[in-house]
Amino acid sequence: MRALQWRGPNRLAVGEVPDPAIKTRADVVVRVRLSATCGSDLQLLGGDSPYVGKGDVLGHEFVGEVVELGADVQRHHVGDRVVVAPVIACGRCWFCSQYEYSLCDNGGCFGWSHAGSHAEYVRVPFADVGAFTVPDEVADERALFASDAASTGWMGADMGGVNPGDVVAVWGAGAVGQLAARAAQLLGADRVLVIDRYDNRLRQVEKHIGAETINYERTDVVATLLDRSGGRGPDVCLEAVGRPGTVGEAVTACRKGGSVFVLGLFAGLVDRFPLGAISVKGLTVRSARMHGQRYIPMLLQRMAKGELTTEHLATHVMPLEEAPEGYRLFRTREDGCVRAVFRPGS
Amino acid sequence: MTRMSRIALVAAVVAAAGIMTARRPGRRRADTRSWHSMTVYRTLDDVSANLPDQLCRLEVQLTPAPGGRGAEIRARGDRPDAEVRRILRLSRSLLEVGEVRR
Repeated sequence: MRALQWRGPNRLAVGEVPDPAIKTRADVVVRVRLSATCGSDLQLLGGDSPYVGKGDVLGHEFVGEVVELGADVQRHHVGDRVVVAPVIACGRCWFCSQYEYSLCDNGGCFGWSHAGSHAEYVRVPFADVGAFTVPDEVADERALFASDAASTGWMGADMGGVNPGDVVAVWGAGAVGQLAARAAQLLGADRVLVIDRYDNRLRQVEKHIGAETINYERTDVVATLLDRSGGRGPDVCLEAVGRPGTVGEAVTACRKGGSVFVLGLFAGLVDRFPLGAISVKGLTVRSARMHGQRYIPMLLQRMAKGELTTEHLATHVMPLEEAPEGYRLFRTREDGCVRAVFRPGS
Repeated sequence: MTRMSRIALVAAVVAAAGIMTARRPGRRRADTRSWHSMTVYRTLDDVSANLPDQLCRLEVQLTPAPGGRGAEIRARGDRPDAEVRRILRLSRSLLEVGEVRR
Protein backbone atom coordinates (compact mmCIF):
# COMPACT_ATOMS: atom_id res chain seq x y z
CA MET A 1 0.00 0.00 0.00
CA ARG A 2 0.99 3.65 -0.29
CA ALA A 3 2.01 5.57 2.84
CA LEU A 4 3.78 8.74 3.91
CA GLN A 5 7.13 7.78 5.41
CA TRP A 6 9.68 9.65 7.47
CA ARG A 7 12.91 9.16 5.54
CA GLY A 8 15.23 11.28 7.73
CA PRO A 9 15.36 14.77 9.28
CA ASN A 10 12.87 16.92 7.37
CA ARG A 11 12.65 14.34 4.58
CA LEU A 12 9.22 12.91 3.81
CA ALA A 13 8.17 10.74 0.88
CA VAL A 14 5.22 8.62 -0.15
CA GLY A 15 6.28 5.04 -0.79
CA GLU A 16 5.23 1.41 -0.77
CA VAL A 17 4.97 -0.36 2.59
CA PRO A 18 3.49 -3.76 3.49
CA ASP A 19 -0.26 -3.87 4.06
CA PRO A 20 -1.14 -4.08 7.76
CA ALA A 21 -2.65 -7.30 9.09
CA ILE A 22 -4.40 -8.38 12.27
CA LYS A 23 -1.69 -9.14 14.86
CA THR A 24 -3.68 -9.54 18.04
CA ARG A 25 -7.26 -10.59 18.69
CA ALA A 26 -8.40 -7.08 19.66
CA ASP A 27 -7.20 -5.45 16.40
CA VAL A 28 -9.12 -4.14 13.46
CA VAL A 29 -7.71 -2.95 10.14
CA VAL A 30 -9.14 0.34 8.91
CA ARG A 31 -9.11 1.73 5.40
CA VAL A 32 -8.22 5.38 5.91
CA ARG A 33 -10.63 7.92 4.41
CA LEU A 34 -9.06 11.12 5.79
CA SER A 35 -5.92 11.69 7.86
CA ALA A 36 -4.84 15.08 9.23
CA THR A 37 -1.52 16.74 9.91
CA CYS A 38 -0.98 17.78 13.53
CA GLY A 39 1.38 20.22 15.23
CA SER A 40 2.83 17.39 17.29
CA ASP A 41 4.12 15.82 14.05
CA LEU A 42 6.40 18.79 13.50
CA GLN A 43 8.58 17.71 16.44
CA LEU A 44 9.05 14.36 14.72
CA LEU A 45 9.99 15.72 11.34
CA GLY A 46 13.29 17.16 12.51
CA GLY A 47 14.40 13.76 13.76
CA ASP A 48 14.58 14.65 17.45
CA SER A 49 12.25 11.88 18.59
CA PRO A 50 13.66 8.47 19.54
CA TYR A 51 10.30 6.91 18.66
CA VAL A 52 10.47 7.40 14.90
CA GLY A 53 12.93 5.72 12.56
CA LYS A 54 13.56 5.84 8.84
CA GLY A 55 10.68 4.38 6.90
CA ASP A 56 8.11 4.79 9.68
CA VAL A 57 4.62 5.89 8.67
CA LEU A 58 3.38 9.15 10.20
CA GLY A 59 -0.14 10.32 11.11
CA HIS A 60 -2.47 9.80 14.06
CA GLU A 61 -5.69 11.80 13.50
CA PHE A 62 -7.98 9.92 11.16
CA VAL A 63 -11.35 8.59 10.12
CA GLY A 64 -11.83 5.43 8.10
CA GLU A 65 -13.76 2.26 7.45
CA VAL A 66 -13.30 -1.11 9.17
CA VAL A 67 -12.19 -3.76 6.67
CA GLU A 68 -10.92 -6.58 8.90
CA LEU A 69 -11.70 -7.74 12.45
CA GLY A 70 -9.75 -9.58 15.14
CA ALA A 71 -11.48 -12.51 16.83
CA ASP A 72 -12.20 -10.68 20.09
CA VAL A 73 -13.61 -7.46 18.63
CA GLN A 74 -17.17 -6.91 19.87
CA ARG A 75 -18.17 -3.33 19.05
CA HIS A 76 -17.30 -3.11 15.38
CA HIS A 77 -18.26 -4.73 12.11
CA VAL A 78 -16.73 -4.72 8.67
CA GLY A 79 -17.97 -1.59 6.91
CA ASP A 80 -18.33 0.55 10.04
CA ARG A 81 -17.16 4.12 9.59
CA VAL A 82 -14.99 4.90 12.60
CA VAL A 83 -12.99 7.70 14.11
CA VAL A 84 -9.98 6.51 16.10
CA ALA A 85 -8.26 8.05 19.12
CA PRO A 86 -4.56 8.79 18.41
CA VAL A 87 -3.41 7.28 21.69
CA ILE A 88 -3.68 3.52 21.84
CA ALA A 89 -5.07 2.32 25.18
CA CYS A 90 -5.76 -1.19 26.44
CA GLY A 91 -8.81 -0.36 28.55
CA ARG A 92 -7.68 -2.84 31.20
CA CYS A 93 -4.82 -1.25 33.17
CA TRP A 94 -5.29 0.97 36.22
CA PHE A 95 -4.78 4.18 34.27
CA CYS A 96 -7.46 3.22 31.76
CA SER A 97 -9.76 2.42 34.71
CA GLN A 98 -9.28 6.07 35.74
CA TYR A 99 -10.08 7.23 32.15
CA GLU A 100 -6.50 8.48 31.76
CA TYR A 101 -6.07 6.73 28.48
CA SER A 102 -2.91 8.48 27.31
CA LEU A 103 -1.18 7.11 30.42
CA CYS A 104 -2.04 3.51 29.51
CA ASP A 105 0.59 1.00 30.61
CA ASN A 106 0.05 -1.12 27.51
CA GLY A 107 -0.61 1.58 24.95
CA GLY A 108 1.16 3.68 22.39
CA CYS A 109 0.40 6.22 19.70
CA PHE A 110 -0.20 6.03 15.99
CA GLY A 111 2.61 7.59 14.00
CA TRP A 112 5.02 7.26 16.94
CA SER A 113 5.16 3.80 18.48
CA HIS A 114 2.79 2.23 15.94
CA ALA A 115 2.44 2.65 12.17
CA GLY A 116 0.53 5.83 11.42
CA SER A 117 -2.56 6.80 9.50
CA HIS A 118 -1.08 8.67 6.54
CA ALA A 119 -1.58 5.45 4.59
CA GLU A 120 -4.23 3.52 2.73
CA TYR A 121 -4.73 1.17 5.69
CA VAL A 122 -3.84 1.17 9.37
CA ARG A 123 -3.96 -1.50 12.07
CA VAL A 124 -5.90 -0.36 15.15
CA PRO A 125 -5.00 -2.27 18.35
CA PHE A 126 -7.59 -2.48 21.16
CA ALA A 127 -10.26 -1.38 18.68
CA ASP A 128 -13.14 -1.79 21.12
CA VAL A 129 -11.47 0.83 23.33
CA GLY A 130 -10.15 3.33 20.80
CA ALA A 131 -12.36 3.23 17.68
CA PHE A 132 -15.83 4.83 17.63
CA THR A 133 -18.59 4.50 15.07
CA VAL A 134 -19.41 7.79 13.38
CA PRO A 135 -23.11 8.76 13.24
CA ASP A 136 -24.44 8.75 9.68
CA GLU A 137 -25.21 12.45 9.76
CA VAL A 138 -21.61 13.45 10.53
CA ALA A 139 -19.47 13.81 7.41
CA ASP A 140 -15.86 12.62 7.33
CA GLU A 141 -14.56 16.19 7.24
CA ARG A 142 -16.23 16.90 10.58
CA ALA A 143 -15.71 13.56 12.30
CA LEU A 144 -11.99 13.61 11.48
CA PHE A 145 -11.26 16.23 14.13
CA ALA A 146 -13.09 14.36 16.89
CA SER A 147 -10.06 12.07 16.74
CA ASP A 148 -7.57 14.56 18.20
CA ALA A 149 -8.07 18.32 17.86
CA ALA A 150 -11.59 18.41 19.31
CA SER A 151 -10.94 15.85 22.03
CA THR A 152 -7.67 17.52 23.03
CA GLY A 153 -9.32 20.93 23.14
CA TRP A 154 -12.26 19.57 25.11
CA MET A 155 -9.92 17.90 27.57
CA GLY A 156 -8.20 21.22 28.24
CA ALA A 157 -11.47 22.98 28.99
CA ASP A 158 -12.78 20.05 31.04
CA MET A 159 -9.66 19.28 33.08
CA GLY A 160 -8.82 22.99 33.29
CA GLY A 161 -12.09 23.31 35.17
CA VAL A 162 -14.11 25.71 33.00
CA ASN A 163 -17.36 26.63 34.78
CA PRO A 164 -20.38 28.68 33.73
CA GLY A 165 -19.59 32.39 33.90
CA ASP A 166 -15.84 31.97 33.55
CA VAL A 167 -13.53 34.10 31.48
CA VAL A 168 -11.29 31.75 29.50
CA ALA A 169 -8.14 32.64 27.56
CA VAL A 170 -6.71 30.30 24.93
CA TRP A 171 -3.17 30.64 23.61
CA GLY A 172 -3.05 29.41 20.00
CA ALA A 173 -5.63 29.67 17.22
CA GLY A 174 -4.74 26.42 15.50
CA ALA A 175 -7.23 23.58 15.40
CA VAL A 176 -6.71 22.57 19.04
CA GLY A 177 -6.91 26.15 20.31
CA GLN A 178 -10.05 26.89 18.30
CA LEU A 179 -11.77 23.75 19.54
CA ALA A 180 -10.63 24.37 23.13
CA ALA A 181 -12.31 27.77 22.82
CA ARG A 182 -15.47 26.15 21.49
CA ALA A 183 -15.41 23.62 24.32
CA ALA A 184 -15.13 26.44 26.86
CA GLN A 185 -18.19 28.09 25.30
CA LEU A 186 -20.19 24.87 25.40
CA LEU A 187 -19.20 24.37 29.05
CA GLY A 188 -20.72 27.76 29.84
CA ALA A 189 -17.85 30.24 29.76
CA ASP A 190 -19.11 33.80 29.66
CA ARG A 191 -16.21 35.20 27.67
CA VAL A 192 -13.58 33.38 25.61
CA LEU A 193 -10.50 35.07 24.15
CA VAL A 194 -8.07 33.47 21.72
CA ILE A 195 -4.49 34.68 21.25
CA ASP A 196 -2.38 34.19 18.12
CA ARG A 197 -0.44 36.22 15.55
CA TYR A 198 -1.89 34.81 12.31
CA ASP A 199 -4.78 36.98 11.18
CA ASN A 200 -6.31 34.24 9.03
CA ARG A 201 -6.58 31.97 12.07
CA LEU A 202 -7.97 34.76 14.24
CA ARG A 203 -10.57 35.47 11.56
CA GLN A 204 -11.56 31.79 11.69
CA VAL A 205 -11.96 32.11 15.46
CA GLU A 206 -14.27 35.10 15.07
CA LYS A 207 -16.28 33.58 12.21
CA HIS A 208 -16.56 29.91 13.14
CA ILE A 209 -16.08 29.85 16.91
CA GLY A 210 -17.54 33.21 17.85
CA ALA A 211 -14.81 34.02 20.38
CA GLU A 212 -12.90 37.26 20.84
CA THR A 213 -9.34 37.51 19.50
CA ILE A 214 -6.03 39.09 20.47
CA ASN A 215 -3.12 39.44 18.03
CA TYR A 216 -0.08 39.29 20.27
CA GLU A 217 2.12 41.07 17.74
CA ARG A 218 0.00 44.18 18.00
CA THR A 219 -1.32 43.97 21.56
CA ASP A 220 -0.02 43.60 25.12
CA VAL A 221 -1.62 40.24 25.87
CA VAL A 222 -1.57 40.35 29.68
CA ALA A 223 -2.83 43.94 29.83
CA THR A 224 -5.64 43.13 27.40
CA LEU A 225 -6.69 40.00 29.29
CA LEU A 226 -6.74 41.91 32.58
CA ASP A 227 -8.79 44.65 30.99
CA ARG A 228 -11.32 42.24 29.51
CA SER A 229 -11.73 40.38 32.79
CA GLY A 230 -12.39 43.34 35.04
CA GLY A 231 -8.80 43.37 36.27
CA ARG A 232 -9.10 39.86 37.72
CA GLY A 233 -7.39 37.88 34.96
CA PRO A 234 -8.93 34.88 33.18
CA ASP A 235 -10.35 32.16 35.42
CA VAL A 236 -8.95 29.46 33.16
CA CYS A 237 -5.97 29.73 30.81
CA LEU A 238 -5.50 27.08 28.13
CA GLU A 239 -2.11 26.86 26.45
CA ALA A 240 -2.36 25.28 22.99
CA VAL A 241 0.88 26.42 21.37
CA GLY A 242 3.78 24.41 22.77
CA ARG A 243 6.44 27.11 22.66
CA PRO A 244 8.46 28.54 25.56
CA GLY A 245 6.98 31.75 26.86
CA THR A 246 3.31 30.98 26.48
CA VAL A 247 2.89 29.07 29.74
CA GLY A 248 4.68 31.81 31.63
CA GLU A 249 2.41 34.40 30.08
CA ALA A 250 -0.63 32.33 31.05
CA VAL A 251 0.62 32.16 34.64
CA THR A 252 1.13 35.92 34.67
CA ALA A 253 -2.34 36.64 33.28
CA CYS A 254 -4.36 34.07 35.22
CA ARG A 255 -6.49 35.29 38.11
CA LYS A 256 -5.59 34.40 41.69
CA GLY A 257 -6.71 30.86 42.41
CA GLY A 258 -7.24 30.19 38.73
CA SER A 259 -6.23 27.30 36.53
CA VAL A 260 -3.63 26.92 33.78
CA PHE A 261 -3.86 23.87 31.55
CA VAL A 262 -1.00 23.05 29.18
CA LEU A 263 -2.11 21.31 25.99
CA GLY A 264 0.97 22.14 23.92
CA LEU A 265 3.65 19.49 23.63
CA PHE A 266 6.96 20.55 25.12
CA ALA A 267 10.25 18.73 24.80
CA GLY A 268 13.06 18.96 27.30
CA LEU A 269 13.48 21.73 29.84
CA VAL A 270 11.74 25.08 29.68
CA ASP A 271 13.66 27.68 31.66
CA ARG A 272 12.65 30.81 33.55
CA PHE A 273 9.39 29.31 34.72
CA PRO A 274 7.45 31.61 37.10
CA LEU A 275 7.06 29.15 39.94
CA GLY A 276 6.85 31.95 42.49
CA ALA A 277 3.78 33.39 40.81
CA ILE A 278 2.11 29.97 40.79
CA SER A 279 2.63 29.71 44.52
CA VAL A 280 1.72 33.28 45.45
CA LYS A 281 -1.37 33.30 43.22
CA GLY A 282 -2.46 29.84 44.32
CA LEU A 283 -2.76 28.56 40.77
CA THR A 284 -3.50 25.06 39.63
CA VAL A 285 -1.26 24.05 36.72
CA ARG A 286 -2.08 20.81 34.93
CA SER A 287 -1.22 19.14 31.68
CA ALA A 288 -1.87 15.90 29.83
CA ARG A 289 -1.57 14.27 26.47
CA MET A 290 -5.03 13.71 25.13
CA HIS A 291 -7.42 11.20 26.67
CA GLY A 292 -9.44 10.92 23.48
CA GLN A 293 -11.38 7.80 24.44
CA ARG A 294 -13.00 9.77 27.26
CA TYR A 295 -14.48 12.42 24.97
CA ILE A 296 -14.91 11.14 21.41
CA PRO A 297 -18.40 9.59 21.78
CA MET A 298 -19.77 12.79 23.33
CA LEU A 299 -18.05 14.93 20.69
CA LEU A 300 -19.53 12.88 17.85
CA GLN A 301 -22.99 13.43 19.33
CA ARG A 302 -22.38 17.16 19.56
CA MET A 303 -21.12 17.13 15.96
CA ALA A 304 -24.30 15.33 14.90
CA LYS A 305 -26.39 18.04 16.60
CA GLY A 306 -24.38 20.80 14.91
CA GLU A 307 -22.97 22.17 18.17
CA LEU A 308 -19.44 21.51 17.04
CA THR A 309 -18.31 22.23 13.49
CA THR A 310 -14.77 21.64 12.32
CA GLU A 311 -14.78 21.55 8.52
CA HIS A 312 -13.19 25.00 8.22
CA LEU A 313 -10.01 23.69 9.85
CA ALA A 314 -9.22 21.45 6.86
CA THR A 315 -7.92 24.29 4.73
CA HIS A 316 -5.95 22.02 2.39
CA VAL A 317 -7.44 18.63 1.48
CA MET A 318 -5.23 16.73 -0.94
CA PRO A 319 -4.35 13.24 -2.18
CA LEU A 320 -1.91 11.25 -0.05
CA GLU A 321 0.65 11.47 -2.86
CA GLU A 322 0.91 15.22 -2.14
CA ALA A 323 1.48 14.77 1.60
CA PRO A 324 5.09 16.08 1.63
CA GLU A 325 3.83 19.32 0.12
CA GLY A 326 0.97 19.30 2.62
CA TYR A 327 3.44 19.16 5.51
CA ARG A 328 5.45 21.99 3.97
CA LEU A 329 2.36 24.16 3.81
CA PHE A 330 1.37 23.19 7.34
CA ARG A 331 4.83 23.87 8.77
CA THR A 332 5.28 27.23 7.05
CA ARG A 333 1.61 28.29 7.47
CA GLU A 334 1.76 29.28 3.78
CA ASP A 335 -1.46 29.95 1.91
CA GLY A 336 -3.39 30.25 5.16
CA CYS A 337 -2.86 26.60 5.99
CA VAL A 338 -4.43 25.58 9.29
CA ARG A 339 -4.49 21.83 8.71
CA ALA A 340 -3.47 19.84 5.64
CA VAL A 341 -5.63 16.72 5.33
CA PHE A 342 -4.79 13.71 3.17
CA ARG A 343 -7.22 11.52 1.31
CA PRO A 344 -5.53 8.15 0.59
CA GLY A 345 -6.69 6.35 -2.51
CA SER A 346 -7.74 9.50 -4.35
CA MET B 1 0.96 -18.31 30.90
CA THR B 2 1.69 -21.01 33.41
CA ARG B 3 0.18 -21.53 36.82
CA MET B 4 2.52 -21.29 39.80
CA SER B 5 1.71 -24.88 40.68
CA ARG B 6 3.15 -26.07 37.38
CA ILE B 7 6.55 -24.45 37.62
CA ALA B 8 9.73 -25.67 39.29
CA LEU B 9 9.84 -22.99 41.90
CA VAL B 10 9.56 -23.06 45.62
CA ALA B 11 7.00 -20.54 46.72
CA ALA B 12 6.72 -19.38 50.29
CA VAL B 13 4.16 -17.09 51.73
CA VAL B 14 5.46 -14.65 54.32
CA ALA B 15 2.17 -14.20 56.06
CA ALA B 16 3.19 -11.47 58.50
CA ALA B 17 4.27 -9.12 55.74
CA GLY B 18 1.60 -10.24 53.36
CA ILE B 19 4.26 -11.06 50.81
CA MET B 20 4.45 -14.06 48.53
CA THR B 21 7.97 -15.02 47.53
CA ALA B 22 9.00 -17.37 44.75
CA ARG B 23 12.67 -18.39 44.78
CA ARG B 24 14.81 -20.65 42.66
CA PRO B 25 16.01 -23.56 44.80
CA GLY B 26 19.65 -23.74 45.82
CA ARG B 27 20.56 -20.11 45.18
CA ARG B 28 23.08 -18.97 47.81
CA ARG B 29 24.95 -15.96 46.37
CA ALA B 30 24.97 -12.60 48.12
CA ASP B 31 21.91 -10.55 47.36
CA THR B 32 23.54 -7.61 45.63
CA ARG B 33 21.19 -7.75 42.69
CA SER B 34 18.76 -4.86 42.29
CA TRP B 35 15.08 -5.31 42.83
CA HIS B 36 12.75 -3.89 40.19
CA SER B 37 9.07 -3.28 40.83
CA MET B 38 5.97 -2.97 38.72
CA THR B 39 2.28 -2.66 39.57
CA VAL B 40 -0.23 -4.77 37.67
CA TYR B 41 -3.93 -3.97 37.73
CA ARG B 42 -4.98 -7.49 38.69
CA THR B 43 -5.69 -9.09 42.04
CA LEU B 44 -2.87 -10.72 43.93
CA ASP B 45 -4.54 -14.11 43.52
CA ASP B 46 -4.89 -13.61 39.78
CA VAL B 47 -1.24 -12.59 39.40
CA SER B 48 -0.06 -15.44 41.59
CA ALA B 49 -2.06 -18.00 39.65
CA ASN B 50 -0.98 -16.75 36.24
CA LEU B 51 2.63 -15.71 36.65
CA PRO B 52 4.21 -15.59 33.16
CA ASP B 53 6.97 -18.10 32.44
CA GLN B 54 9.75 -15.55 32.04
CA LEU B 55 8.95 -14.06 35.42
CA CYS B 56 9.06 -17.49 37.00
CA ARG B 57 12.78 -17.67 36.13
CA LEU B 58 13.47 -14.71 38.43
CA GLU B 59 13.21 -14.24 42.17
CA VAL B 60 9.82 -12.71 42.66
CA GLN B 61 7.86 -11.10 45.49
CA LEU B 62 4.17 -10.31 45.22
CA THR B 63 2.25 -7.88 47.43
CA PRO B 64 -1.16 -6.25 47.12
CA ALA B 65 -0.95 -2.65 45.90
CA PRO B 66 -2.64 -0.02 48.07
CA GLY B 67 -5.89 1.67 47.15
CA GLY B 68 -7.20 -1.06 44.91
CA ARG B 69 -4.41 -0.55 42.41
CA GLY B 70 -3.82 -4.27 41.91
CA ALA B 71 -0.67 -6.18 42.79
CA GLU B 72 2.94 -5.12 43.10
CA ILE B 73 5.55 -7.42 41.56
CA ARG B 74 9.18 -7.17 42.68
CA ALA B 75 11.73 -9.14 40.71
CA ARG B 76 15.47 -9.63 40.48
CA GLY B 77 17.76 -12.17 38.90
CA ASP B 78 21.13 -12.91 37.29
CA ARG B 79 20.33 -10.73 34.34
CA PRO B 80 21.02 -7.13 33.37
CA ASP B 81 18.66 -4.63 35.00
CA ALA B 82 17.21 -3.65 31.63
CA GLU B 83 16.32 -7.28 30.94
CA VAL B 84 14.55 -7.64 34.29
CA ARG B 85 12.57 -4.46 33.57
CA ARG B 86 11.73 -5.76 30.09
CA ILE B 87 10.41 -9.01 31.57
CA LEU B 88 8.32 -7.06 34.07
CA ARG B 89 6.79 -4.92 31.32
CA LEU B 90 6.08 -7.97 29.19
CA SER B 91 4.53 -9.73 32.19
CA ARG B 92 2.29 -6.78 32.96
CA SER B 93 1.08 -6.77 29.37
CA LEU B 94 0.34 -10.51 29.52
CA LEU B 95 -1.44 -10.24 32.85
CA GLU B 96 -3.51 -7.17 31.97
CA VAL B 97 -4.42 -7.70 28.33
CA GLY B 98 -3.62 -11.35 27.77
CA GLU B 99 -0.98 -10.80 25.14
CA VAL B 100 2.11 -8.73 24.48
CA ARG B 101 1.23 -5.41 22.92
CA ARG B 102 2.58 -4.88 19.42
